[in-house]
Amino acid sequence: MGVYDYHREREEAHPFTLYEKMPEVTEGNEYKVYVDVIAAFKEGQLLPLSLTWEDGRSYEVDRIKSIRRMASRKAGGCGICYICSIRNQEVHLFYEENGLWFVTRK
Amino acid sequence: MDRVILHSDCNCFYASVEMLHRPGLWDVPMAVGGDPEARHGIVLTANYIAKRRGVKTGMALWQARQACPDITFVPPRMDLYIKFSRMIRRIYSEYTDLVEPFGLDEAWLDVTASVGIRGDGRRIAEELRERIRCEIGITVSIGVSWNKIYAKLGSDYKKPDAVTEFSRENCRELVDPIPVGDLLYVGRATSRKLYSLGITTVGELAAADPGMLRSIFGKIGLMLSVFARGLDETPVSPENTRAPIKSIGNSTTTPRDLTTEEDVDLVLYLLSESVASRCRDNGFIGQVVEISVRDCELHICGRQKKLGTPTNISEEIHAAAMSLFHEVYRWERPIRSIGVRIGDLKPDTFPYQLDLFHDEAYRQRLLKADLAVDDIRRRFGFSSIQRGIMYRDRYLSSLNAKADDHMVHPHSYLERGNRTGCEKVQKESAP
Repeated sequence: MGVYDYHREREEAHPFTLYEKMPEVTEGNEYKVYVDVIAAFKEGQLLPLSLTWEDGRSYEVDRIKSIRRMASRKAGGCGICYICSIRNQEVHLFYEENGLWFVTRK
Repeated sequence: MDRVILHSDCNCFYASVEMLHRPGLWDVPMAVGGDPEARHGIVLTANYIAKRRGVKTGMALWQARQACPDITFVPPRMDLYIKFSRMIRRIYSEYTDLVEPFGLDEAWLDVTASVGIRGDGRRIAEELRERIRCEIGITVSIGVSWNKIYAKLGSDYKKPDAVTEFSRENCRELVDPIPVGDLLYVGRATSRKLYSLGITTVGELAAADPGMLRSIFGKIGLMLSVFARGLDETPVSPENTRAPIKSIGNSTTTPRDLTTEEDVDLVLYLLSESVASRCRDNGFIGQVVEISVRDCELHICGRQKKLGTPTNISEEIHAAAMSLFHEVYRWERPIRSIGVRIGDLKPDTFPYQLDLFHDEAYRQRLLKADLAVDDIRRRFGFSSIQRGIMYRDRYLSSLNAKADDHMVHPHSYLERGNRTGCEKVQKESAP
């Protein structure tokens, strides 16, 4: 029993980061892009409104085509997958349920 | 009507979760193993590629590397596995409230009542398997049968990502050739005895005379016969029920060897706090404190003592543990791991004899302080409030003693008593 706390070092780097807000993989994975998202709760449901891509540009979510729980083997992770249409492109936006969102790169 | 019982087993659970999060590991041999620097140097789970090359659970990391030189080791992240285990259980709970977890990665489901809505057992199993693969990203194998034992055999029958059904029609043909060692409660010693009786398969065990088995193995013999014949009646326990707890303990292999009294003091504080806090969480007081000490050459010693008054105060448990430690350990070698356990549990509302020479008001104040610490930790995390002694050695005190890990190990199948129905067989077999 007794688990060595591997989060300890990382916690020291950001003293106010909450334990549950840790990305599940920190090492680089070219298909998994963590993005900042502006989201809203509408009628009790969490819906993304816009996202900021890694180059700093922000994109509005035009339409959400489907919401379902899904795993992505390509990006490596799972969560609630919002299949969104952004500028006529289909984007898979995942909410990891730990405060973080990621997009699978094409 | 027969029950419909599923047993779901996540294939290489820890390894699957890690492979999902590190796609680079999909097609290479890998194993989840302790961090050698934290000195938990064994393989916890290996993926199928590594298993095929001879890596087994429980091997030391160096043995695994001998068997498979290009293996990749990943340190375990228990919190992540617990999160995944919960997500999987959430899917199960959409099908039935009768879910009995057996460790983090296995569970029995009694879906008898859902058959009318969701289709027969096989269909539910296929649906579960598909959903877990798509939604969680790991594979499971599921056994379907009318009793828990056959369901478990079924989930072992074909791996990975498969469903096996043992129905009354096909079971003799499929179950009989399974080696007897795959049965629950047939370990190395029992299978050796069974082999000497000429029993090597489940079918042969089922055909053996229960009375004869009883004379050799005692009541367990009857139970094994019941298991093999598919007569097991043990119910699947409802969600969120816990078996009565007999004792609460916590032990740990420390990140480095303990060499001084102060190190021991620090670790015993950590463990006593965790034990006391779990006592309080579950509403218990206990009267027997026990410690176990293992030195760096793996010699174990331990001792227990009965306290004057039952307690759930960390300060008192620590004092008792420390005095036991002084009695039992002579410092011949540094210490590798140490544990504290409290037994003889009673509900904390249980009346007890006060001690004339103890200041009860002071005890109540200690208890209140402990409760306040519990409250703070619940809201702000384990490390938000700590004893000053923890700052004497931050490396040692980085052990998080009260992790969720007591749910990792499967509870015993018979934990709630023997409910297999083997007494009936006993009556049958009596002359």
